[in-house]
Amino acid sequence: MQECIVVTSGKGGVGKSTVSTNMAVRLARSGAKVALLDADIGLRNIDLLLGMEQRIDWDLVQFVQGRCDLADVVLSVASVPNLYFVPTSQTSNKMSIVPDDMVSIVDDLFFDHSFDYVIVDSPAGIERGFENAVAAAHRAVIVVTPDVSAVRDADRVIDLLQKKKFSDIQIVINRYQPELVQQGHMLDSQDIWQILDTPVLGVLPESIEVLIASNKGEPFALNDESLLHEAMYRATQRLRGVEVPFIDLNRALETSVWERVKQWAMAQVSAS
Amino acid sequence: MGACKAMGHGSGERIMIRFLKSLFAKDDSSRDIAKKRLQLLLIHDQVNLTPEQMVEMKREIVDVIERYLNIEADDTYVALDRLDKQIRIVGSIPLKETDSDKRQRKFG
Repeated sequence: MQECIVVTSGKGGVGKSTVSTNMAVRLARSGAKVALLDADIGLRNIDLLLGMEQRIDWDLVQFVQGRCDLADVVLSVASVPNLYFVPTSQTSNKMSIVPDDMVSIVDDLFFDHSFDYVIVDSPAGIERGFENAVAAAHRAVIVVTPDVSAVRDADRVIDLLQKKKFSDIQIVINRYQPELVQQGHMLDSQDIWQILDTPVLGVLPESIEVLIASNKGEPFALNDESLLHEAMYRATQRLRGVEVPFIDLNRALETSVWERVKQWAMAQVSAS
Repeated sequence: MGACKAMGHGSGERIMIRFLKSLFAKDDSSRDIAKKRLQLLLIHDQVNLTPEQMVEMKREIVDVIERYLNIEADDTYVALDRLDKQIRIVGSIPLKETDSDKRQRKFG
């Protein structure tokens, strides 16, 4: 089955590029042939997250202008077999591509390059860049953080997508902090699910790994050890239709407190 | 939806913690306030009436009731609210105290 999935949010800075990049890495690691398409014309970022900023010769806008072949803008990602990256332009503006261009680009990716998934990273906002990003998609993943403005913008985007007859819309809750939820300072995943009335694909805990991964240009989904990776892995399993339980992030927090107590006790013992 | 139920919430332990918290909590947590504000806000975003239409609708509702009942027109409250996923119009329109006397005279 071939699917084009748009990752969008309305609000900026909630982690769209991080989610789409790591989702693509995880899907590819599970054996699917995946194209990750940066649709944020003029403000591209995914090249940095993949550590491929020096490898780009041609971009999508130049392809649309007829200056190169599509094969020239489909770059294989060295660190992840089966993953291909399609960069956009850093200098053009959003008007240099129209929604129909996106439809034909994605069609070509499916038929000429036989991808299983095309993941489209949408720009923030609901203007032309958003229209381009959703034009070819069959499904949508809405990234939302647990704060009121992100939730409101997510609701607006879900409404817009429903008006476009999108039937398959799911949310990823990003930058979730269970300790703040327990203190009563953060909406919990169930609150957000109730408010948006949209199925939850995954809940990703706040983690310093995201910053470290972007510093290095190595997606966190390459590192199997972390809780964040596990949460992302489960989200992509659900994306593929596999039912997996959610991680109890609150429980994970309790364990880490317990671990800290244990470490403290060990330190006392070894000190005496 | 079914998937969300498996998220690990609503365990007996958590319900107990929430119950204990509710015993000692003086105010709503900022989380509860955020949730309530969002739920109301999204209703207004979804209903998609202009502020002018909203004001006009409330005025007409009060006008209609005023045609039949003697009400405290300055003390009325009509708003959109949400109960169990159902968006509804809720209102509080107090009658003038003399009204019940009048009715008694009329029907008595």
